[in-house]
Amino acid sequence: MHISEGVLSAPVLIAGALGTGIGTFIGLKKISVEKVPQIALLSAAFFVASLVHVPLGPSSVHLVLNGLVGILLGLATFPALLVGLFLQALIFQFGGLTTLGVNTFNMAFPGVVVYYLFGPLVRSSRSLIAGVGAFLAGALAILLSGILVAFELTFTGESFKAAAKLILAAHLPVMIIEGIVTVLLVSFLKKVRPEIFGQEV
Amino acid sequence: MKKENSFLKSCDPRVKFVLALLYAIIVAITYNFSLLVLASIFSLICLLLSGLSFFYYLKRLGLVNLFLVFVLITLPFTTPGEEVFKIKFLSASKEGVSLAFLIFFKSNLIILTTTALLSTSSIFELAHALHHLFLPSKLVQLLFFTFRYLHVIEKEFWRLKDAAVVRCFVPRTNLFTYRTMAYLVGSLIVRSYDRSQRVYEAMLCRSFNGTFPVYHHFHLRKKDILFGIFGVTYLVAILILC
Repeated sequence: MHISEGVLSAPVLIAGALGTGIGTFIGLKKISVEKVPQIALLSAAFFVASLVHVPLGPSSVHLVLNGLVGILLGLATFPALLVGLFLQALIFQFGGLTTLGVNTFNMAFPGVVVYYLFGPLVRSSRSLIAGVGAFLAGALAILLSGILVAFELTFTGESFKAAAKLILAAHLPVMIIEGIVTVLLVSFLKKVRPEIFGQEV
Repeated sequence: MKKENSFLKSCDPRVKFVLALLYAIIVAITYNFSLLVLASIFSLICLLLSGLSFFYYLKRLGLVNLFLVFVLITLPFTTPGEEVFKIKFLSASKEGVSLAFLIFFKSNLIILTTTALLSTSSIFELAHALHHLFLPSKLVQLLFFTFRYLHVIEKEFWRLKDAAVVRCFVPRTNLFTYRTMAYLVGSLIVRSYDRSQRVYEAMLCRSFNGTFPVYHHFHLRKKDILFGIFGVTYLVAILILC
């Protein structure tokens, strides 16, 4: 979920910008010139995927897929999501300039974490292990994002605690769906284009 | 809908970006109401100079952000202070209501002003401006490519979705729907990946050497410099005064 402008306090905004800055710096260092189109096109694909609404009971949720971005891009997750969120801020006013750092960190950091934790499982040749890894990667990335948002709100002020709890609760159903969709996506990609794994930087 | 020529549309994107960033930062971190009122004068001037229609802004603000809704509905009840109204056992405090209003005001001011300053340039112009400002060139290239192919990939997705709908696909809450959606997105990722290889090969055929040549150069004119100086001075002044 994108944090809007004007909510968080200055220290939280600065910490988010710093975290994203460091992540992006490391990511960019690792990206070679010939990788740029590949990462950009995947970033565009994930941007479009985030516009996809999947039904959930009477409502619907949109896909985030930051777990899968992490698995496919590794350390390039930070620059890829930074660019995507910058475009979302400009085109739809989701998030904004001052919250760009925090929002990117909330999405990209969990992506990089699940890349290191579950990347080896997902790349395993046994489909059961890969499936379990994919579910955990998809679900945990969302959970971590929710925890980061809740933490940032609570750090901004005590009165944001209720909002933080509500937002964290809203992440829970999304977590399950993301886990399931990530499993299905990974099994599809492994069948159709297995070489897409192992391209990360 | 948009008027063709306005001051902000012809203004140098570099100046506009710096002003938008400075404005967003100042407004985002303040809790001072009088600063916001003074800042809204700056916003109003930007709106008038942008030449964008009133309906355009209304549409932008209408994209209600769920996040803001969560924050605004809980704040009055969770901030301790003098009670103003009560819903059953929940009591809303005066401090909470004013904090919620302050955040709503701040958020909308930033959205309006950044829209006025940035939506009057194309994304390609902004990417070019960022290249001149402080961004590493690889990041600018990434931004350029992502935006360049965003619409191509979006079109591809709708084509895939249409193909599914033509075959009587109706999204519901079940595993079949999730599988279909996952395979749609999966196809999109595979196609994007394949396209990126073709794009890069096409670039190599045209002797790409890692840098983008720039054909249109920005020129800082007198009015850009004046606008920049006035803007920065005003924003810094209200920050110091309030």
